[in-house]
Amino acid sequence: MNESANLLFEVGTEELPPKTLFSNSQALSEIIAQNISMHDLTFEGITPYCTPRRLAFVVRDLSFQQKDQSIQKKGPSLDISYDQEGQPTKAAIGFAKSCGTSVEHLSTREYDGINCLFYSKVEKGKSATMLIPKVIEQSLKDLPVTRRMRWGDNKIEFLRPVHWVLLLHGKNVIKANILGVDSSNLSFGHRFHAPKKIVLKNADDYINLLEKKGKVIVSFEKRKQLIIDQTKKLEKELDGMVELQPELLDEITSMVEWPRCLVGKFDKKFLQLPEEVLTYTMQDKQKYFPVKKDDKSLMSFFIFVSNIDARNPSSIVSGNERVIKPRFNDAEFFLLQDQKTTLASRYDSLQGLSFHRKLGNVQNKSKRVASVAKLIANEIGADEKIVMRACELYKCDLLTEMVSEFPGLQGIMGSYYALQDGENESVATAIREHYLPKQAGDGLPSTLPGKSLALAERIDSLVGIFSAEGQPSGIRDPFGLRRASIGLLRIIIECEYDLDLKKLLSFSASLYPKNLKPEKSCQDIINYVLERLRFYYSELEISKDVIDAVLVCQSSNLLEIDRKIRAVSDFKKLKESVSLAAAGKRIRNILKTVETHASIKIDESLLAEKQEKDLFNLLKGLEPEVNTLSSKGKYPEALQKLSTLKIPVDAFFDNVMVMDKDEELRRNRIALLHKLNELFLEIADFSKLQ
Amino acid sequence: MTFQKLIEVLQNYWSKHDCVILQSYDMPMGAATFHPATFLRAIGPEPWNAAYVQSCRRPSDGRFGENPNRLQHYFQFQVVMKPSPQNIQNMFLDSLKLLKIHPRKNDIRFVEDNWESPTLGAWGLGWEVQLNGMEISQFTYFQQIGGLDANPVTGELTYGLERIAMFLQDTDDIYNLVWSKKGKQVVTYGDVYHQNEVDQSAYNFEHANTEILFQRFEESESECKKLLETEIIMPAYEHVLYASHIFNILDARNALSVTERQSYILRIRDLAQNVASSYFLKRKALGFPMAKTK
Repeated sequence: MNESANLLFEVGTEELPPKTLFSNSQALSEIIAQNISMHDLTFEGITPYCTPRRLAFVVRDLSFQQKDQSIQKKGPSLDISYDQEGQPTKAAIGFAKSCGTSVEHLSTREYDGINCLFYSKVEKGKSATMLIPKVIEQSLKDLPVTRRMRWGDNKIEFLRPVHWVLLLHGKNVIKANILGVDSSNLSFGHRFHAPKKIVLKNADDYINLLEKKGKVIVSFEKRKQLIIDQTKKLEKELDGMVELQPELLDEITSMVEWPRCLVGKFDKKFLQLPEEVLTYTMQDKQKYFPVKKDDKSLMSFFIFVSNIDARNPSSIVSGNERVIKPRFNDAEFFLLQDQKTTLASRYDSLQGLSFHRKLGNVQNKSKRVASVAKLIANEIGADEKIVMRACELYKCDLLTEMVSEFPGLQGIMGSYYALQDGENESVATAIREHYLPKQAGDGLPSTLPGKSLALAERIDSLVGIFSAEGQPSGIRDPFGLRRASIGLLRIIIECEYDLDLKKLLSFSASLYPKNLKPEKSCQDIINYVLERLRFYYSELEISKDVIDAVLVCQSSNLLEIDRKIRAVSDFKKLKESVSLAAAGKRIRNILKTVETHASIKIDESLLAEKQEKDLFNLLKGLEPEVNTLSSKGKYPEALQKLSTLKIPVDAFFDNVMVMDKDEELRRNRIALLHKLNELFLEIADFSKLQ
Repeated sequence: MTFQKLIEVLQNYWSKHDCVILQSYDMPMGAATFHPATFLRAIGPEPWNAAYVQSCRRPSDGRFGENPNRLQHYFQFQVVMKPSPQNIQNMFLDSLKLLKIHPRKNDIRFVEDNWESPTLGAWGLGWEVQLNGMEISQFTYFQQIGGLDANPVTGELTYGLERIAMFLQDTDDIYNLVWSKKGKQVVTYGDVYHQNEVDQSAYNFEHANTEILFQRFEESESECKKLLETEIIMPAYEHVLYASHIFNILDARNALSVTERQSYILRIRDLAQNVASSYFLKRKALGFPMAKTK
């Protein structure tokens, strides 16, 4: 008999949220794999599957049984196990008890020539049939889902109502009640093409059977590829190009079980609308792929993915065309309405738009932002006039019909209307760009005015919202401060701006009403922004200890911090870093145990041992060099210098007794270590490196 | 299929599925959810199945009868079932088949669209049902209503009657919908409602006296509170409906700043939540009569 077989699990549900389908499905498999390992069952690997109506996975070659576990324990030696009358002693009885048995059931075994009591037992492995239901139940509970729901009249919660649970290990159904449903060997196909039950005789049949009988492609990757292939074919027919935006592609892949790409068209007259409006309506609202010509201009076609394999798809096509038309009509109407007024003339009405109930209206905000932006513009060399004009106009599009209808077009419409009004092109660009980066992976503003505005906007929001609402707690971030912080630090770091965050924040705070006490929040904001660095660098695969080591230094200059982090991260790969880290830890531990040492001067005449003299001399020469390099931002070179301390530091610790009985010697040595530590801290706290 | 036939088919269908067939509530409201048969009946443990047509008003959506797709007054066909049956999705799909909407010739999709009503203090998870990319229905499992956990859960189906009729009659213009037809005599949706759209739009956008409306809002708010003190719940709830509708007209008139708007929403929500908890307590005092097994 085989010792293992594939395990198949599928939970059938009502339509799952598409934006998280893929990540939920991945997460489930990861958790399952962990939980199976924890239960000592062996397997080769796990593959997740998902469609809008099911989450599934196959665990390859899952063992039917846990391995038998042999338990062996050594007890006390025989001479202390029995008294003179041959009765078991307390030691023997206690050992037997700890093994869950009595002394007469123990045997003896020789250890290093001494006979000892010995306990051994083979514990029979439990069956997968017994363990798997609990593993799955626990894993579904552990699934990190933002919102679960209830339905009907029961207490069960899941992503969406559950209809069936398929659980097969090889050919056997594992009996379980999961999410309120009894498991079976039944699945169901496509909602409309194959609604009847499908019987699975073997877990291995899953993918093929669901495709052939069920008209369901359970593999996310395969569906995605099908959509790509079909789109490629249609591109050729239309003589156009489609940019398959990855997020949209994933979302659409999550909305179909049997993808079929079709082409719809719209009236050419709509091509006169701003391209962003058309793209936004097609992509964001309708989940269509826009089609472009070679020169990147839009064509009057769109590609959409249906979930039905209709013999004659004409009514599907005409239906979708009918949906897009009134949307474009609306957009055309809004555009005409909006263009009756210039962007600049909306400035006064910004007073009617609240920024935050304690922080005044959007006009107040844009005035504050202008002051901060001016400061930044001067620092980074942006054209002040352009920046000032952009600050007047940058929120005016919030008052247009187009943006109230399509909020995703904020900035884009502002820029469009600004150009229509004959504003300077750089002003228009800054208006559009100040929202960047909106999310991870977004580009930064490309122009200096855009960058000035983007920074000023974020600084003003951070100061205001922190003062009015306090620091955001937990994962809730209703004012988007996390995003704002990451945008802020990305622009400063990636554009290499030598800006001091503290200075900018306190200037911004000085522009808010005094009663809000905004200056009190500045340090919290710096800490909050620095916290975000952890996320930023984790994406760049820089380890946590490096960040910790640098952040200890309490700087608020992001560029300086960035350069240190990169230098230390590179340095950490070298051998020398190990001994510096070790030295850092030793110094730390010693300094921790003694009190005030900052004020103690090193007395050269008290240096007794050769190794402390060597260290002192090297340090004396090194200090100005390291300081100069560090102040120029040349951290890799400074680290190189510091690493020359390796040998003398090691020698010092090997040969010199810091905690000498002689108080003067002791104090002097501590002072020496303190000096060394201070020099390290110019760059980082090496004791944090791991 | 005429507009009136569409209503008839749906009513018969849901009547066969054990729904109490009710009529439109005789007060203006923004959505069928505001009908006491949904909002109040979704509260508490008592089972409840009902279906009804509700006329809905959304003053801001008025277009003076000039836009073929937008109305400030339109109809929803509402179905509520508590507890939500396990096969409620299929019940809905079967009703589409009765309307001759063939699921293999069309692309019918349940697209995530979670519902939240800030004024009712209610939210649920569910979908908009799309027919070839067009939203024709809303489908929601209530999770909370009037600030109370929905338990058991009410399933709510809301058919957009005009949208479905436009599909069935293959027209791009709401006003061309055939409402009824007898031989050659045709009455269109436009014949019945076009004048209403023109006049109501003018009122909502241009003529509504905001001073009076603000005053009425205050009155409804204080009436509602007063009535709740004496546990007179149904009229108290009607004042929530008044307040909500007045708010919608003020909104259409652009009479509310962004900040004020939020505070009015919260005021209505407070009223709605107080009504909800009073209703729950009153039904509880009565021993939840409909929860008793028959």
